[in-house]
Amino acid sequence: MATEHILEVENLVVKYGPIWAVNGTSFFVDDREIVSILGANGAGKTSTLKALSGLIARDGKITFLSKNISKTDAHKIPYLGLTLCPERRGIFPDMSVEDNLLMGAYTIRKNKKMIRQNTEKVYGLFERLAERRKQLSGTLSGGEQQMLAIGRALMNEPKLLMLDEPSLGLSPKLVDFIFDSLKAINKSGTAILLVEQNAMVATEISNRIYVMQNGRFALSGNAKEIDFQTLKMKYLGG
Amino acid sequence: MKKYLWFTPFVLVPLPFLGYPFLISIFVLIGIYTIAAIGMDILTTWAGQISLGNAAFFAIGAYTSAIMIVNFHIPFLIAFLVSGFLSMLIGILVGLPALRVSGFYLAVVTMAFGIAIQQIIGVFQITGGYNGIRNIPAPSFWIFKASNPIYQYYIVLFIIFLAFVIISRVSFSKSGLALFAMRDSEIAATAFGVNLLKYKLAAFASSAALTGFAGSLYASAIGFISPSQFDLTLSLDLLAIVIVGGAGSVIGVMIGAAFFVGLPFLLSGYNFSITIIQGIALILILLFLPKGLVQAFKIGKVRKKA
Repeated sequence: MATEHILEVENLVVKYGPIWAVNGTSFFVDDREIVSILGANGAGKTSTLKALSGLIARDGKITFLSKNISKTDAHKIPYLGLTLCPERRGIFPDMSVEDNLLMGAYTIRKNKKMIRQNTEKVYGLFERLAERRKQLSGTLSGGEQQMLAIGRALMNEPKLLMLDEPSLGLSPKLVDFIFDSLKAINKSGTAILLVEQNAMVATEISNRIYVMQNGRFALSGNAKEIDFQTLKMKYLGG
Repeated sequence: MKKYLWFTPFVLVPLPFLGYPFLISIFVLIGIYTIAAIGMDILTTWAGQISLGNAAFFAIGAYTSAIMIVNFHIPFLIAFLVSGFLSMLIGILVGLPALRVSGFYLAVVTMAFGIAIQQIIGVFQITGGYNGIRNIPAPSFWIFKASNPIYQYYIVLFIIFLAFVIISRVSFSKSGLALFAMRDSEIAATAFGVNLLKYKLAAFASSAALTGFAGSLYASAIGFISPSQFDLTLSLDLLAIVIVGGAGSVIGVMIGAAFFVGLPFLLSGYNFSITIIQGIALILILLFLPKGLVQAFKIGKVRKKA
């Protein structure tokens, strides 16, 4: 086991005015790991991811690849290899599938060869996108949009991919497909930090999980050893 | 080169009307509004920002140019460049609040700016107060000395062409893509490395600069400016030109400007209210051509494909 975590968060605090959304959490992600943060609505999961990617004001110490990024501007973070796939997909609806992917490669825009390679990789992973490369992405189905969002996030070759609720609004079959893809992405060397409400599927693919409640971790541990009864209790506010 | 060819007819348009300078000066006016509306188009359709204060940039351009020419006898070309530049600087200042507010709130902030500038112009001596500035000479530089509006026409056309070339180059670049991304989803754009500060300010700067250039041309073409010409209606007209003509297309904006500026002249000989006609036309256009008048010209092409 490597002692060097690729992401290490100490005492993360996110406040919206007087409300504390994240209340001093500490966690880490190791290389090639899948880590899930689970929890009910309003537990502070999305705020955690937004804080890590610099989109909202945050306190605490965030170290990514031995670099302190707790004060780094949001638009500089993807350059480091830490990429967020935002909640509700956040695709660019008035741009074609191909342009969305190009936009995902914005940080490596000078490297045409790498962009071409990554585009092929994404089309290989999600064949549906290849069929629709010229289509306006706003006209894609929910599942296709999620594929596009994940594919776009892969374009700048993240070391750690952060996903916010990839199962949102998808049918069970599509959820399985998306999570299988995440497993494949992880196999090829990308660590994944997943935020999910769907605890069952997330636990299945994760190495470790954290359960969040009112801005704090109520439970954490190895995904295989977690007791579902306790998980359920924490979820429901026990 | 091919995509620039549609411009050639506009070079020839005024030739049959050489004997009718009044008609050509209407074309000039349409062109000036086109330049200002392209500025609005960049801000709204491209960057997804809204401004109800672009009349202020028009006024800043017009007054800077007029004061320099009338009071200090500075050549038109220099006054023209300075007015665009000054407008751009102020545009950057106005863009700053856009980093914090968006949508309706940004509309109100920019509207307040527009009204404030109009009032400020009204109280100063150098701007001629509410009486404005009179007898601004027609634009002239180098060989273009005559006051014949045909020269103005080509100056204006050249600037529109320049704007079009720059726009079409940027729109296929990574910067253009980043701008569209910002418009579609600010969070996702940031998450993929787009510096919103840079792009928002660039959008406001280029919008203000174009509008300022238009203002400078306007002052010299009309020869008289006063604060009342640069009210909220002008800002709204610029927005309406973009929407009615066809957002995101230079030819669309030209059509929109022709509709808003040319139509009143066309109907001035008749005895009915232009406001009513324009109002009805506006509703019909939005109902049947939601992408603007430019849509009507593309129908043929679309059908051919099918």
